[in-house]
Amino acid sequence: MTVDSRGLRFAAWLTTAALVVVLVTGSGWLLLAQSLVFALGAIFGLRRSPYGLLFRYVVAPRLGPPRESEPEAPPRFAQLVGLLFGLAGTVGYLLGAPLLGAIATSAALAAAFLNAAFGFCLGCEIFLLLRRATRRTSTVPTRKQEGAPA
Amino acid sequence: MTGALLALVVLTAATVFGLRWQARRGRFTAAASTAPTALDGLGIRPGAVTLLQFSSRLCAPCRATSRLLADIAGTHPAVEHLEIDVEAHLAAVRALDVRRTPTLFVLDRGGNVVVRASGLPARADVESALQPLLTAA
Repeated sequence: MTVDSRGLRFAAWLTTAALVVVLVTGSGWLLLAQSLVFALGAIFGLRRSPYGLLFRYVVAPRLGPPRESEPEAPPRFAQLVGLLFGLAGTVGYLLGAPLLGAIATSAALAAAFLNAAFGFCLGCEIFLLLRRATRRTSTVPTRKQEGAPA
Repeated sequence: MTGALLALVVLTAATVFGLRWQARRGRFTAAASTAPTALDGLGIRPGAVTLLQFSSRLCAPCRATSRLLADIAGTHPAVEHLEIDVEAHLAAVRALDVRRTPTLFVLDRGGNVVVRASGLPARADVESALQPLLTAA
């Protein structure tokens, strides 16, 4: 399954805008709504998330046929990461810990903006680090560091 | 309006980070020497100049990188493109200190790692990394 690259950028810009408004207003309810968008994107895929539907039915018909499509798994992973930060921030804002809300929203905003403006791919940067941190390799031969005392 | 100020700080910092990230994306740098066992089990063919690419399934630019490198390998008979899934080869990932995908290594005919890059490279950069290795034979 692939998605139109332009739709991904469109969704990333909308996410960026929503998160900026969350930071400015400190609205936990708006962050909850954005978290719901993240959840739908992570579960059903970007094409069927609210921003994806908006792109497909309103924006895409005015743009012409897609030039580039991308596999769906990487942005879906990014939506999942966004959901975790969105939920943490929502809890913060709604349960009286606005600092937690602001920090979590800032992290999500940075990732969404980098994706929208630079094509930054969160899965490319952190998936392997997560795998490296959580999985051992038993097959790796123990190497002695050169110069280290035996 | 501390929230508005925070939003401004986040966007500014992200822009600085993004510009640096973009400038370094796909740039080749000299690779640190690796243990001889680091490349074991990857299926590197001796005698060929190898474009060794580490990819993951959650990586969109890996596909574009794969297409580019396969195309370059197709035009040079002495060049081989080898794509490795990071999840299946975590030992090599650790030994070579691969941290993001795609990460690309250029190996000479003796199987030694010469240069490395992360992110989708420019075709011209790959060609100029290959050039000295192809003429040295």
